[in-house]
Amino acid sequence: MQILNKDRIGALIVFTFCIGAWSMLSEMPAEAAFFPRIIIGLAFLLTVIWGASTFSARAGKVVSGSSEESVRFMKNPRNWGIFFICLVVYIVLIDTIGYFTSTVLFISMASFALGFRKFGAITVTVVGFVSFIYFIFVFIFQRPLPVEFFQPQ
Amino acid sequence: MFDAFLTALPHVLTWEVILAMVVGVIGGISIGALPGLTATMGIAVLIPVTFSLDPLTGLGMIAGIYQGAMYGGAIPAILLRIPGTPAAIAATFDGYPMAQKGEAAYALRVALVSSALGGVVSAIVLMSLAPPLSEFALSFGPAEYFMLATFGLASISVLLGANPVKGLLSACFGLFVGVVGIDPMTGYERYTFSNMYLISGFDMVVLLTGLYAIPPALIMAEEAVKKGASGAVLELRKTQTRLSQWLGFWRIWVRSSIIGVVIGIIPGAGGNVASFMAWNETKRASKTPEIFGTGAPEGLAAAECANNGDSSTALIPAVTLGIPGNAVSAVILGGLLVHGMQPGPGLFRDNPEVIYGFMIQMLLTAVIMFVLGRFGARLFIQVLRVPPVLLATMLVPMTFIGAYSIQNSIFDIWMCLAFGVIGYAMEKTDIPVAPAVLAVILGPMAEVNLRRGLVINQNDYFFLLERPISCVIFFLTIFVLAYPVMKSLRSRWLERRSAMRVSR
Repeated sequence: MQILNKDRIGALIVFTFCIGAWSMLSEMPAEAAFFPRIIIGLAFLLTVIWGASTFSARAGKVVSGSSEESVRFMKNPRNWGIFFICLVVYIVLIDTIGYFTSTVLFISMASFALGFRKFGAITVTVVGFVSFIYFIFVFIFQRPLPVEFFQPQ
Repeated sequence: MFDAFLTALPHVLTWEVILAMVVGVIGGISIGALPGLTATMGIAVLIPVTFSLDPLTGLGMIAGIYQGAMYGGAIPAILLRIPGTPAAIAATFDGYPMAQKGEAAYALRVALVSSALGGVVSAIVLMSLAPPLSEFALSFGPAEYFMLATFGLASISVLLGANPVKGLLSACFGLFVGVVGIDPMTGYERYTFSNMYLISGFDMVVLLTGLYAIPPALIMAEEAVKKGASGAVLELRKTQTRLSQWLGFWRIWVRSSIIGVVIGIIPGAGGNVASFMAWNETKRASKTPEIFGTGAPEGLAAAECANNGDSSTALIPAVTLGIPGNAVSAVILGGLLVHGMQPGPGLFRDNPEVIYGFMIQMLLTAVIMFVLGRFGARLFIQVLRVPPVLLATMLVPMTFIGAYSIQNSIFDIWMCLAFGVIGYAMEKTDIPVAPAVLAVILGPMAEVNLRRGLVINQNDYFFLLERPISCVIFFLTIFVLAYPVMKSLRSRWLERRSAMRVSR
């Protein structure tokens, strides 16, 4: 049943999004709303077809013949969750303590949290990667990156 | 046309541009060799790096990545039976069995020579067809441009992926993303929520990096594979190949190049379609079809030649009309836009040295790829040793810094992550990402031309059918949209007929 649920949930999310986007059209002048109205109208129609197709007999046949591995949305939700949290924390840290410091923390912490415990390999990766980025973005192209916490503003 | 190429040549043969092409090819082969990373992703991540470069230097690097990744995908396909890129799937059929027989070095050489030849033929076709087509496109008006954009979107949505409804939904998502920001005709803000970062709409590079680079990182982190390929698998035995062996491939190379070149021009059909088709045709034409799939070098040569044979011709509609036919060309268009160039016929008039130079670069990078692949194969395969979990953690900072450096804004990093999560969800629900990316580029073009045409023709929609070219494209679009319905009805009719025969 999972493949049906996956598609049904997807169709429901898109449908809800379309309702939200459609309701905002009333605030726009008719001319500006002309093209978005066509797009959202088409998306409504396609979402209904997508949702309805999950109830059809053919979709049922597909589900009964599928392996559990192929129908699962996520293979390992725990790892996904850990990595996603690391990403969110990383972005917050980029803004507060700077790009290079947060990158050192992100690569070492995220790989450790995902079960990679070869500290030598992590150290080499961190040093190599940060040096590479510094060389390309700062040394060659002189692009301004988020300031490090130890640097003067 | 020939003069234009001669004028552009000195601009290409400078040491900076040649170095950029070499770096691009090395990067491309490495990216292609890493399973899960594609040419599209590599170029998307690289665009912010090329931002500070001279346009031709940046485009040289992009061309190098593109050509290199198309060949690089065959390396893990041959050694590990894991295609590095989707286009390398057909290379596993015969490449991996060859490696199992101890012919890995020979298989890599066959893949390299075939890829380089396919790339050269494709670049020559691009150089021959693009300039006259761009001159023809100068006569296009709003009706033709609107219909071309619609046709491009319809064909990629329907032809790519198994479910046309999902493909079209993906296009709708891209069109919606494209309308965010100031309306080009009235100046009214649409879906900006009074956020100053959204006034000019979503940045193309942020969208591309988010949709193409974050999902592979999320997938690699989810699987958390902690070991790279072992050293034993990556050992190559020395083998000698005779000239007669290579000459035996010429028919296959001619056939597969033609298949690749033609498939490349068709919007929506990519290198994977070309390589499957070439492998199948070579098997069909062979006197010993039974050896295909068990380690036949002919099968590998066909797949790889066709795979690279479509690389440059896929760019023909993109550079001449501004209508990308696949995801890679959409990303390359994004690269041109970043450098302040508007793809389309005007590009040949306004920046001839850049666009003619880019076409020469597509040819030169195929040659550079051959040289680097010939002497650096043992080095390139070492990238397979990198544990995927470490790769995921490096991919994210690289992507984020690219997104940040466009406008020096943390908001763009958040947007990159948001698009990454959307891209991941699309991948998991089998919704293709490419139509969305194309729609972001084609949406504004379609909207402006439709509204402009309606204003000129006093809201008469029949202006779309008044000119012969737009009329032809209109019926082609109808055919492309009706094709899956016709196909489904035909298969049901055949099923019913066979059921009736059985019951009799």
